Amino acid sequence: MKKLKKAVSLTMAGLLAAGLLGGCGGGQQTSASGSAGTDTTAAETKGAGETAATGETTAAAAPEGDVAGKEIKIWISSGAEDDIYREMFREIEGGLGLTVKDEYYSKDELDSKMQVSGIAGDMPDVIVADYLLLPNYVDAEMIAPIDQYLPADIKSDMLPSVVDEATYNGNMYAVAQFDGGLAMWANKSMLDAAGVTDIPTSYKDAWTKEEFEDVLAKLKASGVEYPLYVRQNNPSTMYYTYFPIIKSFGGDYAHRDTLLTEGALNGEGTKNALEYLKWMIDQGYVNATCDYDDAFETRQESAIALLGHWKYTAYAAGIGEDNIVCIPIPDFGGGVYTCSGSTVWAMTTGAVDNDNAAAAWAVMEQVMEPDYIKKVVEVNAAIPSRKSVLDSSPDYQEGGKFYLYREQLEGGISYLRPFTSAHMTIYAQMKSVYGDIFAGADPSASLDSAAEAIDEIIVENGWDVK
Amino acid sequence: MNTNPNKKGHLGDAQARTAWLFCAPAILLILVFIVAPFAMSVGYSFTNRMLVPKKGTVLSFTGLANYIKIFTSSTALNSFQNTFVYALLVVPATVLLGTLLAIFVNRQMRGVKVFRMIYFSPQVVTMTVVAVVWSFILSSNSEGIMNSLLGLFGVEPQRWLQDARLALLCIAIMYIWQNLGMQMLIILGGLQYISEDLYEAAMIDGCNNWNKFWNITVPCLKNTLVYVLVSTTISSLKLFTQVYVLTDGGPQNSTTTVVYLLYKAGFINGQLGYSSAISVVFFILVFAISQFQNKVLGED
Amino acid sequence: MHTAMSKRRRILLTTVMYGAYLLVAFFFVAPIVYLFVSAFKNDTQIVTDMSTIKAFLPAGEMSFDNFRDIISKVHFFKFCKNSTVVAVIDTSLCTVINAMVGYALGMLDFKGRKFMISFVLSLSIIPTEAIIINRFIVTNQAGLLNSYLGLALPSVAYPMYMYLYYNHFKGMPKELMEAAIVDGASYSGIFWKIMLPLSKPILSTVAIMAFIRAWGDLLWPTLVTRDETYRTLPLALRALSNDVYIYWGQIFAFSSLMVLPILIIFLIFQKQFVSSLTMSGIKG
Repeated sequence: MKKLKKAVSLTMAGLLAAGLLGGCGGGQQTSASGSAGTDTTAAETKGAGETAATGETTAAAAPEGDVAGKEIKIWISSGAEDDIYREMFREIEGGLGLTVKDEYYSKDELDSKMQVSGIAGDMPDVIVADYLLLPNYVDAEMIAPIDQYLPADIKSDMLPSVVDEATYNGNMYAVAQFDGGLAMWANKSMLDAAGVTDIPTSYKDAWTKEEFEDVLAKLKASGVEYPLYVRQNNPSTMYYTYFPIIKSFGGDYAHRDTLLTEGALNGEGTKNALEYLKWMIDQGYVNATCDYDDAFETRQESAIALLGHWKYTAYAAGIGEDNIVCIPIPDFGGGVYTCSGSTVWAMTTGAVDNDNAAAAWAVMEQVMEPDYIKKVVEVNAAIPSRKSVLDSSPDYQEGGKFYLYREQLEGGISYLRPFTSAHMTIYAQMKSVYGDIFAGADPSASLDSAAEAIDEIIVENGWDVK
Repeated sequence: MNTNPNKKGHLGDAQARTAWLFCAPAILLILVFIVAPFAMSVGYSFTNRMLVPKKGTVLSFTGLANYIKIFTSSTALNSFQNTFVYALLVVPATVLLGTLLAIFVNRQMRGVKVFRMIYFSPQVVTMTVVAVVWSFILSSNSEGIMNSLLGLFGVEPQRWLQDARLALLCIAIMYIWQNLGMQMLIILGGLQYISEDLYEAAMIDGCNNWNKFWNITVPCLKNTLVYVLVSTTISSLKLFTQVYVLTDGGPQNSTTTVVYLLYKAGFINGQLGYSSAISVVFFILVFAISQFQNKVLGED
Repeated sequence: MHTAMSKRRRILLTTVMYGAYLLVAFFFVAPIVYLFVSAFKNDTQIVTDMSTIKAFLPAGEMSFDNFRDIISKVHFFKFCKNSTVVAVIDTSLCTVINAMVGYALGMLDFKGRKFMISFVLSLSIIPTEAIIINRFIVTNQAGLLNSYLGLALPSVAYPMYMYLYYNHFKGMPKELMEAAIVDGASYSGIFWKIMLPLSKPILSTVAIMAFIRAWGDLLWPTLVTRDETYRTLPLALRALSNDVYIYWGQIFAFSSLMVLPILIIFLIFQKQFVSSLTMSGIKG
C-alpha cells in the first residue's frame, strides 16, 4: 500500500504541475462567460483572415525564393501510393537539397486536421488530397493559387479534366499526377452467352437507352441474376459513379452558377435518373439487397459493373484479363458522359506565409515529372495526368485496354461533380438518398427533401454565389 | 461554528478540508477540459460560428436563431424523438439482463473466468469489426444470417438496417449485446460486497432462490443498480458511434440521434453555432431526466 | 454428506452450468472468432466469405501475411507504444483521481457536497462530440497539442466514474471510518489505508473501462496529434481503408493485435472479482 501511495503522490505532483500549465492557458476560458468565449473566436477568425490576406500579397509579389535547406511539410491522404511517395520524396530531397516531412493520414483525419490547423497554427506547406475538399479550404483562404508558378508547358500537357478539377473561381489551385477513369466493366463471356454482339469500345458508339435496356433484358433472360452491379453495398460511391447517368438524363447535383441545389438536385433530369435506378431495381436488373463487394468478379451474379479504373486489377484477376471489357456509360438521351476527379497536390497559404512557397512549388513541380507519374500509376492503375505520359504507354493507345478512359477525358465529356464548399453537405445527403432508394424509398420525394435541407445550409453558411 | 472548538466541529473542518483537497485535482481538470469548453459552446450557440469560416464571413450574434431552428426543424425534433425511444428500448433491457448475467457468472467454477471474458469481449472489439459482423448478421439479403434463422420459423425476410421501422431496434439490440458485458462487470463488482453470511442465514430460514434474490441481492446491490440505471440512461441518450458506423442516421433519418445530429451539423455542415445549440438543449433535457431519476430512486 | 447421490448431482449440475455458459457464449463470441479467423485470410477470401457462415471458419488459405504486413509496413508497434503510454497515463490517473472524488462525496460530510454530486452527474451528460473543438482550443492554449499529456489529460477527470465511485463509497460502512478516527487515523489516511484496499473490485472495473476508452478513442487523437510522432493505434487502423480500397486482411490482423492487450488486462484485473471476500460483514 505504501508503494501505491508513493506512486500516486508522485503522479499527483506531476499532474498538478501539468494542471498549473493547463490552468494558466485555460484560465481565461474557465472564467469566461458565454459572451467572452464568443470574443475569443472573433479574434481568431479575424486573425486567420489577416494571415490569409497577407499570404495572397506575398505570393503575388515573390514568386522566387530559397529552395535549398528548406523543410517542406506535406500531409498526404493515405492510399495505395504511399510507398511510392516515400521513395519519391527521398529522391526529390537529394535533388533539391531540401527536406520533405511527409505524413500520411486517412482522408477523414487529414480533413479534420486541416480544419483545425487554423487554430493550432500548424498548417502544412502542401496537401495531397481529394480535389473536392479544395473549395472549402480555398474559401477559407487556406490554399494558395499556383497560377504564377505553373509553367505553360506543363499546363498544356495536362489532361483538360485535370485542369478543370484544379480550377476554382478562375484560378489554378493544384496539380495532379493522375485522373480517375470511369466507364463500365463487363464480363464478355456473359455478354456473349446472352447474345449481346454489339459491344462498344468508343464513347462515340455508346449504347442508347433502348440498346442498354435490351442488353439488360437479354442478360436477365440468359440467367444472369442481376445484370448490373453499382456497388449498392456502399452507396456513397454512387455520388461519383451515377453522376454521368444523371447528367445524361439532363440533371445535376447543383446549379453551377448559384451553387444552390433547388431545381437541379431535385430537377426533372435528376429525378428521372434516380427513378430509372428504381426502375432497374424493380425490374430485377439491380440487386437492392446486395451487401457484398464481389458481385461481379467472384459471385458473378452481375455481368456489368458501373465502377472505374480502380477495380481493374481485382476484376481482371477474378474473371480473366481477356474476359473483361471496358464499355462507355450509355446515352440516356442527353449525350454520353463520364465523371472524373482525383487526388491533387495543392499549396497552402501557410507555405506562402512561411516563405516556403518556392520550395513547396519546387517539390510539386518535381512530382509532375513523367517518371514519377509512371511509377504512381503503375501502382494505382489510374490515368496519367500528362498527355506525354499517355503517349508513351501502350495501354492508352487505340486498342489498348484503357484507351476508352483517355478518349473520354481528351474528348472533354467528363462532367465534374459540383465544386463547392458545400461538397460534404451535398455528398452526405446524396449518400442517404441512394441508400434510401435501395431501401425502397420514393426517389422524387427523397430528392425534394434533400434539396431543401442542403439549400438551407448553403444559404446560412453563405456557400452560394450571389 | 468555527469559534466553537468542540471535537465535532474540528472533525467537520478536517472532513471538509480533506474533501476539497481530494476533489481539487479533478475539479481543476474538469474546469479546463469540460466546463470551459462547454461554456464556450453555450456562448457559440447564440452565434453563427462555423468550423471553417468562409473568407469574409463575420462572426455575429444571432440571438435565439439557432434555438428557434431546433424547435422548428422536423429533422431535429425527430432526432430527439428517436433518441428517447431508443433509451426506452435499451435501458430496462440492459439493467435486467446485466443483473441476470452477473449472477449467472458469479460462481467459483473452473473456467468461469474465460466465459466472463467471452461475454465481455464485444466491448473490446474495434467498432469497425463489430459493424462488419452485425451488418452481415442483419443482412437484408434473404440468405443473411438473421433472415435464414427466422426463416426456419416461417418469418419473411426483413430489411433490418434498411427498414426505417426496424433500424433503430436493430441498433438497440446491437448496443445491448455490446454493452452487457460491461454492465455485468460492474454488477459483478457490486456482488462481491454481498456477504455469504447473509445467504447462509437466508438458507437456514428456508428462503428459496427467488426470495434470496429479492430480499438480499437486490437491496444490497441498490447502489450499483442505481449507477447502472443512471449511467445507461445517460450513455444511451448519447448514442453516436453505432449510428456513425452502421447507418449514418438513415434510412430516412430513422436512426438520427441527437448526438449524431449535432456531429453532422458541426463537422459535415460546418455549423458550430447550431451544433452547440443542439448540445445545450440536449444537456438541459437529459439533466432534467437524471434529476428526476435521482428523486424517484430516493437519492440522499 | 458426501454420498454417491450428492456427488452425481453435483456433476450433473456442473455439466448443466457449463452447457449454459457455452450457449450464452455463442451470442457474444461471434466478433472475436470472426476477427481472429479473418486475420489469417487474404482480402479476396474475406470478401468472398463475408455474409456466409464461412466467415467464422478457418476456410481457404490461411497465412501470417497480414500480420507481417502490419508490423513491417504499417509499423504497428510504433503506434502501439504511443497508445500504451497514453492509456497507461490515462488509466492510472483516472482510476485514482476519480476515486478520490467518489470517496469525498460518498463518505465525507462537507458543505457543498450535494451541489458537487449533481454537478458531477450533470457534467457526465455533455457529449464529447459537442465540445471537442472547444476542448481543442483550450488544449492548444495550454500548449499541450501533440503530446502524450494532451492526449491523456482531458479524459482523466471522468464524471461517470466519479459517480460510480460515489455510489460505491456511499455504501461502505460508516462504522469502519468512525473506528479508524477513534484510532487516530486522518480522513485521507482512511482513504489510502482502508478504503482503497477494500475497493479493489470497483477500482478494477474503472481501470478496465478507462483503459478501453483510452485505447480505442478516435475522435480526440485525430485532432490533438499534429504529426506522426504521437499517433495512436485507432488512427493507424483507420488509414487501412480508403474510398478505393479496403485492406480487410490487414484491418483484421491489426484489430486482433489491438484487442489482445485488453483481453490480457482483463484477465489480470479479473482476479479482483473473485476475491474470497476478506471483508465479510460489509454491506454494499
